[in-house]
Amino acid sequence: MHPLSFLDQFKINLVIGFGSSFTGQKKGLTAAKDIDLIIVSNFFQSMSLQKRKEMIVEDLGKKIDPILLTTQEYTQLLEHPQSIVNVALKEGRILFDSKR
Amino acid sequence: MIAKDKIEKELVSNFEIEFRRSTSTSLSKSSRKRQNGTLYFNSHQLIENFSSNLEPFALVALEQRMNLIKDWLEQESWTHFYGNFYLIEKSLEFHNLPELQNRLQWTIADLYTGRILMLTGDNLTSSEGSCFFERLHGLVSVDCKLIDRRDKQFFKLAIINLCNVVDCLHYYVKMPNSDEDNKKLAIDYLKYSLASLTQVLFNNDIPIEDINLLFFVYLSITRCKESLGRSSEDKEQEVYQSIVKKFEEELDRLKTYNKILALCDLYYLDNAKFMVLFERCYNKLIIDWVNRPFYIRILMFYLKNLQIGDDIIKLKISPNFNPLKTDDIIVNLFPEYFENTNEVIIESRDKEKLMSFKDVDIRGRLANIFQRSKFLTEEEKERLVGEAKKPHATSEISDFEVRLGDYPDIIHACMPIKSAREIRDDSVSEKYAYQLLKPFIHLFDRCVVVFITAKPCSLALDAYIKKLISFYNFPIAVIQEDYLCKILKFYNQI
Repeated sequence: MHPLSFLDQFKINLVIGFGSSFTGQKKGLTAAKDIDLIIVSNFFQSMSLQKRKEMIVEDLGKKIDPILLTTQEYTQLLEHPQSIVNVALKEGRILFDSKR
Repeated sequence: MIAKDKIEKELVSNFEIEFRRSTSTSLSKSSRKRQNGTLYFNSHQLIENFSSNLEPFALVALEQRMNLIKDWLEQESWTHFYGNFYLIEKSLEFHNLPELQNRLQWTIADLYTGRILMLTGDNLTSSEGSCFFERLHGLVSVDCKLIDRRDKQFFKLAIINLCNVVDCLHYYVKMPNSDEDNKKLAIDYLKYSLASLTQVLFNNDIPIEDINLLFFVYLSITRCKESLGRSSEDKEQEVYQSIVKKFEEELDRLKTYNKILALCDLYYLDNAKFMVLFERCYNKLIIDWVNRPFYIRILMFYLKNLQIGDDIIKLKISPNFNPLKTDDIIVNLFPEYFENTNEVIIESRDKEKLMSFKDVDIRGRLANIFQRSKFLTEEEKERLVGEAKKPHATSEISDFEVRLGDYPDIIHACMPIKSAREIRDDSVSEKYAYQLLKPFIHLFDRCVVVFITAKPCSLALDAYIKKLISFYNFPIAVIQEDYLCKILKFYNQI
């Protein structure tokens, strides 16, 4: 599937890449073996995490290890300084932002 | 022996109380996490041992609640990524005792999260998993230090904590897909834990009132040894036999909580003895909200041993769902059809054709029809064409899923599809009822089920669906046999 189609299909607002694929680090939060992504979309509302993951992995492949959040969940995590969202923003890279 | 009817009734009533209580907002967050965690484990046990004894809607209610609990705990862990596991070391280092007390409680909730993720088959190779195992070092180290110091205030709590760590790691090491690096860490922690817990077993520091702790320690030692490939020693066996003897002697004097917890562990250590002692104390147990989750567990263990055959455990629990109007959704999916329904006359050759269709044929034709709906986005229409051609995996929630509307008001119309080729009998049997309800497990209150079947529902399935719709307001619609044939013909798909 073409990446643009993926972003459209799931109405993606934001994609942040983190983990060793983006930081090169081999310890701690960013030491994962898969490609870590945070993907934000309201498409995930009222959907179990498992269902969200099945849908995305089906399109992006099994090496992707995404954390899939709605906008509200993303905003809530932003309020916690040690949360995965803040760590990813600090150490990772924004790959897509629908507002930019 | 206690009558199985009596145990079943007791299990049902206590489980229902616990199921309702798990949504209570009056508990502190860490208590709520532990309470929900134990409900998850009990639900898991119930499904593992009695799935064929549960009604489909009760089974779906359990799975839906388990999903909600797992998702909540997992999202909570994203706020700190098991930070308590290393922050507890700081609390000990700076002698911050109130914080140490709190963190010992919080870490149990975090261990529950890890254990639940493992139960779902997650091998924790993500960032989250790496943190769980790396940071667990801090917790194991603090637990072992507190145990070694025989610190009065924290001794018992540290033992409980370390035994929970062992339970988690023992499960992880056994997992077929556990990650090698994480497994190495797990083995190291199990070695430390074994040394510390063995000391506790031999030092006789635990008073008889807390005999359940001794059982937990002994069970954890056997788990450590099993994971490390070591065999049990004679002197440990001797201590264990003396614990069992003491338990038998003191059984009538012990509090319900201690009895129940001891029985929970005894089940894994000596099933026959568990049965005898459960029967001995059953009538004297006084159940309250603290011991109820563990009482439910020993009831399940006992019932499992009784082998209940085909008995139905009548749990009156229902999944959360939104009673959406299925009629409106069907009209949106099949535009123009309902205004012109009388114009369609089906002939025997149309029916024959329908009977020859496979699942994939029906999906393809439905995808063609949905291209006309103005309630589907262009992206969704495009997706459906591709989706219709894809081979269907059994793990999928339903055969075909159509997203109606656009953000933020999407409704998932989930369509289990049964072709005549798949259903060899004359009608679709009641055993498919669970499959119809499965979408509610993952899509909660934003879904409706549209059951598409070339053959008619059996009387039993029809009655069950009618009960779900009229008594519980489940948003389910059925498009079967001639009705399906007419729709396909109207849109020139047959």
